[in-house]
Amino acid sequence: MIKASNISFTLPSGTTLINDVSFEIAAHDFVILLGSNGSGKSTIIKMLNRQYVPTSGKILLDNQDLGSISHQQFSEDVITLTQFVRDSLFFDLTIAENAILIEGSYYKNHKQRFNKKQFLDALKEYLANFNTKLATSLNTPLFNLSGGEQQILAFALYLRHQPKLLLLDEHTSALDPKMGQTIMNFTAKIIHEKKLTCIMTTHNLDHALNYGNRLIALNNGQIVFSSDTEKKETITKEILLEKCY
Amino acid sequence: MLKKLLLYALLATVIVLNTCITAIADPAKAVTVGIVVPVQIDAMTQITDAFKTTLTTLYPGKITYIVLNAQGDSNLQRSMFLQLKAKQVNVVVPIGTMATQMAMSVNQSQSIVALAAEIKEADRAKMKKQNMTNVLDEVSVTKQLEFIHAAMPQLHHLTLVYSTDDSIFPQAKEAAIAGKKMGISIQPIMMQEMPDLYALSKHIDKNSQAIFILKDGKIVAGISILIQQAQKRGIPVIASDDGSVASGAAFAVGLSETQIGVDGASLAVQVLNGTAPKNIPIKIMSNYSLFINLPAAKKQHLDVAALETAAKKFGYPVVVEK
Amino acid sequence: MLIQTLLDALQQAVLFIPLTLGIYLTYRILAITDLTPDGTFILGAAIFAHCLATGHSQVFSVIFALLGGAVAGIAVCLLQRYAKINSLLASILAVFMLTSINFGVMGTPNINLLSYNTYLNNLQSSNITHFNIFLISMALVLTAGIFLLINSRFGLRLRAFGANKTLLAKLGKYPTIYLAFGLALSNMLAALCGVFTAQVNGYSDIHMGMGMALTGIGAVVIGCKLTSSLFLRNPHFSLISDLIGCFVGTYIYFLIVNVFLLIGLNPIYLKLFLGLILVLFLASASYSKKNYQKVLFHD
Repeated sequence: MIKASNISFTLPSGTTLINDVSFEIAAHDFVILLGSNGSGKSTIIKMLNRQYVPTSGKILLDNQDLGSISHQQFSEDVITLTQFVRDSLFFDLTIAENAILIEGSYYKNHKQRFNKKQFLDALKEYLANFNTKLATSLNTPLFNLSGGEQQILAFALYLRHQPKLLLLDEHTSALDPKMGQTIMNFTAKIIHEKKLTCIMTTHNLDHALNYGNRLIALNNGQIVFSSDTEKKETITKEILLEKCY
Repeated sequence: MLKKLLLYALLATVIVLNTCITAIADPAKAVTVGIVVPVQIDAMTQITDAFKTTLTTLYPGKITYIVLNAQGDSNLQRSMFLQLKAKQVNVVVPIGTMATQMAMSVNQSQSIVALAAEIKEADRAKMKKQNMTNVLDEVSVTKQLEFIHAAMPQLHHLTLVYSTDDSIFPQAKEAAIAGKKMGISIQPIMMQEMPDLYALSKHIDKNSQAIFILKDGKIVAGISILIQQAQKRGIPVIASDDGSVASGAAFAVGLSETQIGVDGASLAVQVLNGTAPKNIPIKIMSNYSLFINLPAAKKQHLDVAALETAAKKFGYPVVVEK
Repeated sequence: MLIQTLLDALQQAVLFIPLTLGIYLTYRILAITDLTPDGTFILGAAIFAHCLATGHSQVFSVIFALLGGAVAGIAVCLLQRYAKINSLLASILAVFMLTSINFGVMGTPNINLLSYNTYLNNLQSSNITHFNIFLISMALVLTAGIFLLINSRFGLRLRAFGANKTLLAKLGKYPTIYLAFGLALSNMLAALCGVFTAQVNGYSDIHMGMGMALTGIGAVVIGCKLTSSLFLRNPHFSLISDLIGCFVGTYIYFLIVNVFLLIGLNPIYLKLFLGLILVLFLASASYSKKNYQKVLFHD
């Protein structure tokens, strides 16, 4: 599904962040991307969501060059959620307004008529599956919600329609351990239920071991360790610490 | 019964007589005059002062003056005219073209005596409500140049520095045409914003024999820059109003601000005595004077005697600034 | 006398409303500080006066003036997006350049409109009640228009631009379109205000726009702050409260100007006084936000 071949990324200053990396990800894979600070895992995420363009090499999504996908289509295909909920949701707007903005373009792309009342009724029902408080406070601005509620809302709104690829960039690191765990369980559940293809970066070794079916470790812009589904079971914390840090 | 009727008749006569007597003794009632000054500059103060003193001597009744200063803010200025309208002052006196146009828009009924507005008889005839008269202080640039030409026959290159203000633009055009006829080539320098003046002053032609400025508020405000430049080159600054001469220009041929006020008062008194403004002809000022600044003229290498001779020839009174 | 002053201020305020609404669009909705209305206000008046002076009909002249304002707004958008100049600086630059353009349009620094029989001037002199009704209904129609626009899905995206334009791009939209639209509409309203003012004042002059944008920002800040603290329990966005705020703010501004004159204070200090009031409101707006965030943190 995703095929990255010999991709590199060098800053204009000359610093090389990613050096000749290749990997393939199949549909329904849940890949954990591991690595120390500066190892290049966030750079890979940013290349996958087109924030950065590789200085050399190619990334294909469903055999289509990443750069050639239209702006509209790409925003539907690839969803990125980070620890900064502000990158995904409008804090000054209400839950309903956020939902309309995030889903609004979907209707246009799929040539469906948008009916505000119908949409909001459906939204209420939909959100109730995640969190009852969210469902009952559609007209509450987001700055009135807690960090965990905001993160759940982001998942709920962005994953209402199935994206081709979900990118999670340390999305639990701004939360306290307990809430982080809750969100992580919740994440795994959604990915499993929706059979999403997902790449997740994390610093939490427990998360790295307990979730996902594949693991890729990066160091100094290169892949130092890669495991497929069977081998992943045998990995221990010690191996990871040795390889990555 | 008859007695009572007589008494009433007597009383009535007394009252009627009384009013008649007071009317004869004091035919002029107390009046209010509202003056709106668009910006606080020396020239405006001179005009206002002269207007008030003259009107007070011309009009026998008691006059209350309301002088409002708009500080260059058009919203504020509009409020002022609205207020003068609400107070029902007898005469509204705006100074300058913009203020006059606004006064006429706001006040459709009150009498307006404009001072120094760029409104001629023909302009007034086109207007719907002609509730105004004006003192037109248009200085004829041609006449000024004629005088300069007579006083300084050797002058062939003149630099005209002017701003983008209301009345200045057509004058600058006129100057170029008139100069050509007299064999004076004029280098025009237009200033859009005050801070540009210094840089522009560097571009005065090397062979320019004098710097000429019009009755141009923005340029007058920055006159010291031009005077410095003139002294460096040993050429005179010729202005168009007495204020600039007081600030260091060598000389000026122009109208005195005081005279604008005086002429305005003579129009205002007619309005106060009951003449409709539209029946009062617009006063075109023509009494030019020559203003000289002796120390400045000397510094800027000017022949003062030649100036005075020319003034005599043209019949302009000479005013020497100290 | 007092009632007359109140009415005079009201008349001036409704005349000014288009500009306030324009500023509201950029300052509150798009969350950028755009001072271009200082220039487009004059541009509107200038184009209107020029068209009229060259013998075109009034309707045509107004349409051209509005188009001029819109084009100027789009130009400012291009300055911001492609020359990468920040919004405040881009607008100051635009006003700077518009000085020349306005001059070029008029060809002379001042065009007298008293002899052209303009619609508003005519109305003002023939029937003051109709004049007032026209101004008030014009203001109401424009406000209703803005209300419908912001309430639409397109309007929501305009607000989204103000809230987080990077995120808007991430959602597959082109933020530049929304910026261009907002700036064009805002400056069109400023131009409309210029056209009205030129008609009512009887002239168009290249110096007539000084400080208009700041006055508008002041009206928006003061008005919206007042109405939101009066009507709303939490500091959340409410379009109705904001639009009422625009009216209130503009009215307060002109009321202060008129009351200053009425009680005979020297207007030299008027600007200082108004400026200080604005500072007070801007400061209180940011303080109340901070307190609010503190409360959030304790949660």
